[in-house]
This record gives sequence, structure tokens and C-alpha cells, in this order.
Amino acid sequence: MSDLKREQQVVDALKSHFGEKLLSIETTFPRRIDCTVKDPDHLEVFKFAKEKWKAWHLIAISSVDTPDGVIAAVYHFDIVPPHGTETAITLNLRVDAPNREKAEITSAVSVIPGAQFFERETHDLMGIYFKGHPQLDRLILPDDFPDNVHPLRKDFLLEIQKEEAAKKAARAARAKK
Amino acid sequence: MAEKKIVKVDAPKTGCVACMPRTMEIPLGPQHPALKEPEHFLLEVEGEVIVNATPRIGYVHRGIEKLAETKTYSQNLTLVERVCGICSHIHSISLVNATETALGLEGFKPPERAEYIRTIVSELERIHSHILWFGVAAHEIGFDTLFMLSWRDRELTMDILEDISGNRVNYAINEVGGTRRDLSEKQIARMNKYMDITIKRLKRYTEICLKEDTIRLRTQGIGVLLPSTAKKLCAVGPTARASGLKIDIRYDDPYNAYAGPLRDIFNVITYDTNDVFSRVVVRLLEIIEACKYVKWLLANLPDGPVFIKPPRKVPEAHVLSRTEAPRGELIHYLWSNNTNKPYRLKITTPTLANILSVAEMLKGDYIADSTITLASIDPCFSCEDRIITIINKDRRKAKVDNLTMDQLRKYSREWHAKNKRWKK
Repeated sequence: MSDLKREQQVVDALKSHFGEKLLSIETTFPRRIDCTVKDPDHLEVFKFAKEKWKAWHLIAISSVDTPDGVIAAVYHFDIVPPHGTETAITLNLRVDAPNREKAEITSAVSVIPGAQFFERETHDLMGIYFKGHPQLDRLILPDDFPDNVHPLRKDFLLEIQKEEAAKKAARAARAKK
Repeated sequence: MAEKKIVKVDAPKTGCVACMPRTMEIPLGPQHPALKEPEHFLLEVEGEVIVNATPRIGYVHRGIEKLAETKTYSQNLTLVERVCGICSHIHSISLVNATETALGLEGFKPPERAEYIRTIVSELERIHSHILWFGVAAHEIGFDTLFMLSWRDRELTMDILEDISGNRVNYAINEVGGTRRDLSEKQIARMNKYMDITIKRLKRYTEICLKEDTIRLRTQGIGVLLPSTAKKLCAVGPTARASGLKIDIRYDDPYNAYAGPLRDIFNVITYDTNDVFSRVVVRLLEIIEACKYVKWLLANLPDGPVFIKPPRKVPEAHVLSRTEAPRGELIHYLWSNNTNKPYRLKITTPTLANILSVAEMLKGDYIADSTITLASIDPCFSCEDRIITIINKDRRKAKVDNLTMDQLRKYSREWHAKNKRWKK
């Protein structure tokens, strides 16, 4: 299991089909493949996996405000579905948004209808605008929540984080004295 | 006289019958008869039949994902157990697995006995969660005797959990690097005894469910979710398995003790009638299977320590941890950054994945069946909603801090005296 042979086969298949469209691809852990693509190419990957491995299961969509200040969506997708006694292989497909202010990514609903709620949640909390989503309304935050404030971004600070930052600043000032 | 009055009332305000909309909208929730947790469904009905259902969630958001970024891994275990009151242990397993996978890059490996104990507790949790659901479903269809009986049997599992962890709800048995408690011979003997009783009782309930008309007539043919639709909408857990899809993370992406020899005797339960009845049968059979796994794990429990001290800092990695919660697939996606706090922790729970399927199931059913259909996916909205920060200033003003019950009553009386004829 741990020799990553099956994972390598999937990586090779993706590499030969997409070539330079894959910005990066690697397998660190068994049964996991981490991959990065540009904006509309993730739909192509889903279509390719659907045809080649009969994949159907989108597990979830995560969103990360990376240390470099990039807003990224990560699609977790069962690229090789479980078959008989064989285990599934999961693809973590990262798509970066072009910029922070207008973070736009093409919606995957046209290929996978089950992505609807995951994308709405991500839109609500991380502020990624999914182009072509049928109904991109509020899902989780209250209706009277201010627009353009997204709690999971790193520039949104909780009371606790503000206190910590103030304490740190005070400590630094004291050390200077 | 009477005629004149009618003429007066019938002004053309309401319009003629032909102009009236064919469908009506009925709001179901946030507080409603099916569940003890708040969520809202807007049902569009034509007569008695539901044509469309629009879900709205987010009433129990608490800010756990954001808060997790400010706590250490060890503190986070306490935090994520509070995501849900029923499936609390599986959340901590998910986080612990993610952390230990990242630590594995530096060669750290948790002891085997600890992994077995974690798996035992998670199976016990599945048993009590499924029996709880079974009771609720019986209550939903008006079979209250079964509700009482099944909850009586659930107490056996709850007693075991209290015995081995000290708590009935949040077991707090996990720690990064192992478990906090070990199992004694006496506890193992008691668990074996109780599991035998549970298997016996559950076999009886399964028999009742398969033969008894009261349950069959009320659950067969409603809330249908076809396998093709389930695939399209990415359904997970017992909901997907009741539609004939053979997916179970314990088998498809094994973790902890499931990756060992238990995999050979593992049995993925599916049933193919696609309706609420199918979900009842799948859950009942799963409880019996879970009891068998607990017995197998107890018989094959390896010796050794239950805790190894882990390094304090977690190396940089992006880890996706998949586990099978009682309600379906649960994922924790962890970005660690070489400190003792996570950079980002994303939790996705099974109910969020299944909520689209419910909206689909409700279409074409009668309003009267909506409660059992809703309950049939075993929704857990506390799991699903995790984030809220009060920003609205008016709301902060209305926040009542440190008020006693009497003061609160006085406040409410005064408020209503001031705002007479108040209507929402």
C-alpha cells in the first residue's frame, strides 16, 4: 500500500493528458494527490476523471487564505472511486483566485451538481465568487451580515486575536525599553 | 342582509381564481416538529404535494473553524469535540489522524493499542447514534413504544461509554500521540456482555421492522432518492448506502484499526429500495455489524502502551483526513505551518453533503411525510453550522449579560409594555 504505485499511475495519466496545464502535482501521503491548476482547467480535470475512472464523488470544497495572501479553493475529489476491494484515491485540486478583492473562480456546478452547497458555503465564509453558479446566496451567515466581510480570511480578526496582537506589541515595546 | 355583506367583502383585491398562483409556500422551521435542532425549509406546495423545497441553514453557527486557528492542537481536540453532541468522538479522531499524519513526516507513529481503543469508541458511538436515530424515527411515525424500547437499549452503550471514558457525551479519550485512558479486563468483560445483549435486541427490532405493517406502510415509497440522483448530488453515508451505492470510508479509505486485519471481515451494508424504509434497514443492520466489530476489536486488542509523547510542533503539510461519522463522511482538512497551532482547519460534515439530497427527496411527497423524510438522513445541524460572529451593533445591545431569570422576566414585561401590539 505504501509504495504509492497506484497513485503514481494516476499522476502519470493526468500528466500525459494535461501536460503543462498542471502547475504542480505530487503525492506525499498514501491515497492522496495534491495538484494545482489554473482557473477554468479544473472543470477539464473533473470531466477527464468522470470519463476515465467513472468518478462521481466530490467530497468537499475547502478554501484557504494562504500565507502568500492568495485566496484559494481546494476541491477534494475521489478521482478513482472505490472498486471491489481496492481503496479510493483522492485528489486535492487547488485553484487560485486571480486577486483578493475580486476573487473569482468558475463554478463546478455544471459538471458536478452536488457542488452547489459547498460553493455557497465557501462564497459566504471566504468570499470566493463562483462564476456561473445558479444561486449564490447567503447560506450560513445571517442575512443582515455586512457585505464584503468574510470571517475566514486572515485579515478578519477575532477579539481573541486582537488581544493577542496587542499583548505581543506591548511585550515588544517593553523589551525595547 | 347577509348577501350585501358578502358583496362588500368580495372586493377585487384578491383577484380572480385564474390569476392566483398555483403553488403556495409553507415555511417549515427554524423551529419545527421533525427535529430538535433549528433549520429552515421553504416548501412550495400544490395542494398537498410538495413541488419544491429550499433549505436554509446556519442557525447554530459558533465560529469553530476560525477559533481553531487560535488554539494549540491539544486544545483544539477539546474544541472540535464540541462541534456535535452526538458524534463528538469522530471529530476528534479526524483531527488527531490529520495531526499524526503530518507528524508522520518526522517519523512519529501512534501506538497500535491506542488506535484500537479509538476505533472501539467510535464504533460504540455509531451504535448509540444509530439507536438514537431509530428512536427518533419511530417517534416521527407515531410508534412511541418502539421509541421508548430502543432508547432503553441505548442506555447499555451509554453505560459502557461512561464506564470507559467517564463521560456520556464528550468522551475526551483522544490525545495527539495516543489515548488518555486504557481498557481494563473488567471493562472488556462488561463490554462483551453488553454487546451480546444489544445484538440480540437489535436482531429483534430488525425482524419487527421487516415484518410489521405499521412501519412498512409509513416508510415504504416515500422520500425516494434514486442511485443516479444520489451520485449526482454527492450523497454520503447511510443515505447513499440506502440508495444502493457501496461507499463507506471505513472500507474505501481505511484509517486506524480499519486498515488492519479488520478490513477482511468488514461488511459494507447496502439496501436497494431507495426510500425511508431502506434507510431504516441499513442503519439497523449497521448497528449489528458495529457490535460485531467491537467484539472483534476487543478479542484482538494488542498489548503495549496507549500513549507516546509527540513533538510539540507539527511540520508543514496539507493533510486531508477522511473518516466515517455515523451520518456519513466527515473530513478535516488541515494546513499546518511548523508551529503548535494549525494555520487553517476546514471541517465538512455529512449533513452539508446530504442536504441537497433531502431537498430532492421532499419533491413529490405529501406534506405529512416531510417530517420523517427530513429525519431520515439523520441531520445534525450543529455539525453543519460552525461560524458566527456578532457584528450587528443592535444585536449586541440586546445581548443580556449576567441577568437572573427574574430580571429577564421583568425586562420582557417592560419591553412588551413599551412595544404594544408588537408583531414580527
